[in-house]
Amino acid sequence: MLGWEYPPRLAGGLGKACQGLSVAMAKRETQVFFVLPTFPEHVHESHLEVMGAREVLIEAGYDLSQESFSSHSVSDSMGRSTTRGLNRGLGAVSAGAGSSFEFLRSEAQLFPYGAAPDGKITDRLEKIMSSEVIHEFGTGDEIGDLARNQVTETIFNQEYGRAQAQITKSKKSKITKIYEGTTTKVAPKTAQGAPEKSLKKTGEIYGKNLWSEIEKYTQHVRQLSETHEVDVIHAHDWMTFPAAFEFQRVTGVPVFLHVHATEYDRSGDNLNNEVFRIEREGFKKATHIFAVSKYTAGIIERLYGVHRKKISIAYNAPDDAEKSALAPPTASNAKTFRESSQVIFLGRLTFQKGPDHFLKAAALVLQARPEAKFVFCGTGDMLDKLRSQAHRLGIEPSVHFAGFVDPSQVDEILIHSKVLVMPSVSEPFGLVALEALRCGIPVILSKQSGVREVLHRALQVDFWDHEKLADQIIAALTLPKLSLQLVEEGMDQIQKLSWDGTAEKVIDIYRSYIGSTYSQSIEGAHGH
Amino acid sequence: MATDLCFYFQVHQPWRLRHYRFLEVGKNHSYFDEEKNAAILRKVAEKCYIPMNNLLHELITEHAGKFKVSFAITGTLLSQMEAYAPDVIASFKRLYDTGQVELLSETAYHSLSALYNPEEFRAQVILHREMITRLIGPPANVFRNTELITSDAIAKLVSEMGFAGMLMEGADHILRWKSPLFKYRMAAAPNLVALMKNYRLSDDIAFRFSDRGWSQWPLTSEKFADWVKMIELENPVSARGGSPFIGLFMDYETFGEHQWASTGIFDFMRALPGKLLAQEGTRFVFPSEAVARAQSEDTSFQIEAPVPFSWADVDRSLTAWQGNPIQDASLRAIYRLHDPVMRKAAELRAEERSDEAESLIETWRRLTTSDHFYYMCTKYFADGDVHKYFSPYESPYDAHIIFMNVIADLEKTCGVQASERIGA
Repeated sequence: MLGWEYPPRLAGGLGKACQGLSVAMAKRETQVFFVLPTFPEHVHESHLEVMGAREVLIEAGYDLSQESFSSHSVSDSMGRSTTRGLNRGLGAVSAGAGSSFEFLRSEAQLFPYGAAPDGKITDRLEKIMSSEVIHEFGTGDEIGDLARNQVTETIFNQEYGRAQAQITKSKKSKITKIYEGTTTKVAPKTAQGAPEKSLKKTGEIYGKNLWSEIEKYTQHVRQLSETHEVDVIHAHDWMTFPAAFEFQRVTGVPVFLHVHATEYDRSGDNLNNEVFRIEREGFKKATHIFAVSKYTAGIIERLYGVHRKKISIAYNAPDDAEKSALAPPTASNAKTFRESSQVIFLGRLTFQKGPDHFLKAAALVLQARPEAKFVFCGTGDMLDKLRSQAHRLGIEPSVHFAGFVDPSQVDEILIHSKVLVMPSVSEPFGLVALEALRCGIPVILSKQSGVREVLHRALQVDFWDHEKLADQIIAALTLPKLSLQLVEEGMDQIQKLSWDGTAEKVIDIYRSYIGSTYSQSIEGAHGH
Repeated sequence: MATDLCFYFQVHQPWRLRHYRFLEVGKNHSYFDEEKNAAILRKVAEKCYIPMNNLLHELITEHAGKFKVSFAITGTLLSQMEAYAPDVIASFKRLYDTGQVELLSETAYHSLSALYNPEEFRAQVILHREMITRLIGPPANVFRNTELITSDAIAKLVSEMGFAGMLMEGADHILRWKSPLFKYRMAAAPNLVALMKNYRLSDDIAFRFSDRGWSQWPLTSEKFADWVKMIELENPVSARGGSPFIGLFMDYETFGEHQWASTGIFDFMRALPGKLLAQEGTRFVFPSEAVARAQSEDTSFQIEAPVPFSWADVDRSLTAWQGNPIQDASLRAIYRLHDPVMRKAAELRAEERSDEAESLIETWRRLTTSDHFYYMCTKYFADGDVHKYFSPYESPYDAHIIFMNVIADLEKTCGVQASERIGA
């Protein structure tokens, strides 16, 4: 498995999903090597090894202070490589950029959500992603004309017309550098966005280097092919896609891509075209794709032109701790709850999370419930716009921008609120909904979210339907039996989700592609 | 040797609410979705009521006095037909005028008032009698409660109103070792004859008819007649006298709406009476005839029902309408409004605004219709089963929100404090 986040160093949604899946698969006698760019801890358990590519290579005696791709490593890559462990690409020298991995040891992290790299993809990555790799596990045949021509405006408008999304209609794959000069290129890992104080620093230091970091990771993963023999590559989100295909080029193993979010979910109409291309080419080349929801599968199908049959759903799940309610409601909690009129938005303040829709509904709610309070937890590029919108709507006194809230305090805020609203324009999954239920408050889910597929016992609304959203918020504020039932039934439904179930499904799909080879190796592993 | 077959059809449509928002409270008092109610009624009339009435009319004519059926037509449907489909009332009237149709009594609003407010229950039964007598004809002295909900207390209420018989579900947990083929007395009201629904044969038609996964699919009229014959052979005239009674009780919308015409349900029904009547001793009876026969037979066995039961679901419980927090909150809220609504109506009458008074009471009563609480049931809202769930609202929670918004406006109209809402 290839990923960029793994607890405890990174405890957000993506990292937790990677851990949940890896652990559950290891329990099922599947030997999992989880490769991060860097991971000093080096977890080594039965059937599960979590390692930093860099550390492993250094341990193995590679000198990473002078590294780059060898000149032949990509250029001779056309065609199929079936020999495993082929020694190539080591030893070539170029300017030492090894220190650029240092940032991963610092507190700020590269995070694919909200982290849009500057500039263009590097030539080497470009070659990896665009090479017509021919292998026995799926071809580009399933991809339609749609993807080749990129996305047409029509499709976008049909699907997301109400979101006023637009996309450059282009066959040349050029796009304005939307993020140039902003400070939000790289955000540390949290659902809410970045702590404000560190935004600037991380943006300045790391933004420009993302492509070279991806390239370096790709190279390290390829080098691991010399020491690690695997049957399947499973890569989480776009930053790992080049590494997956580079590994495949050397070893010939099938590549499974796991999509936790697409560029559309991250950026909406401000798609970074380079990222979009990596995703699109990756989907085209992949043996099979896992999406975190049917909703996300639909985006991959329609916006990236991938045949639906090539995509399977692998739902996220809460871990065991998350399945149990926090403190049971005590008398004082119940009283606080009864007296609270607080409505919570928790997430990055960006277009795709729909904070502006939250504000418009708030204005309606306040007509009937002037005592209601609306709290934004999180930061993002829309903060100023939202402040002035609140001012224009004349509801400033009832709206509070709490900024970035430390994850350890999120539960406390949720417990003292009446309802969590997730008005996303596009939300691949939406783990925050499960967190709210656990804190004993109901959630209102956007119908443009993945989590509603596994939590249909919840209030649901189209993000653009402000009247209905307002009505549901008023109901959550004033109908205690409704809230009680939503939390109870929602928690019941969460119990049915499990990483074991998802892992089983993933393994079944591996099997359907590699069949007996895989079964034998599982038996082999079992025999040890 | 004889078998009594009794067809009883439940005919009902509720007054569905529109998406009434809380922000309309105090400003807008029109709650019902006129357009949707009219459209659904027209659709059901065309798919079911009209063609099925015509078919029954043909069969009655064809079998000259030997084929007969009974109906319970709710007041909410009658008032919708008056408003949107008077031709359907005429169609029922024409059928009734053959003399081969019996009408049953019930609450005009298909409500759960028997469980929540006996006084209101009696008022709604009387209203229904007046309404159906005016539009179609007088009902028989036999009662059927909403969704066949029955209990000792309800049987007592019904008996006290002078009814001689009552239809109910032949539920296993109520009958235990007893057979649904015999007629019983209610222990709590010994004058009341209990007519049992034969749920196997009834549900073969109502639910399983088009189920291709059912071992007996496809169901033919021959096969069904054979099953009836078998019952007769296995249950000869009993020592206690009387003939086996087979209650075929079902929703009228089974024909053409629940089971589409393409399933062959109409063809099945067209052939069935002839096949049954061809068997010696098989005869069709009205519920009132079955009750009268029971009175001359030894029906000393009694039925006890301390806990209410219904014809719904596998467990025949009431959990389709009550029991979850939002259902119970809604039921409490609507029945708590009874007295304030009546008080307000009296005030309006005193001010010579009796139209407003009648309209207020009518609105409140339409909100007592059991369907509103059925839409809030979450047990059908199971995983992946959402689409099978029949409701005008997107979810049970939305149904509750809309209902409580309407309640809030009604409370305001009546000048009462809402205690179900926080901070209201």
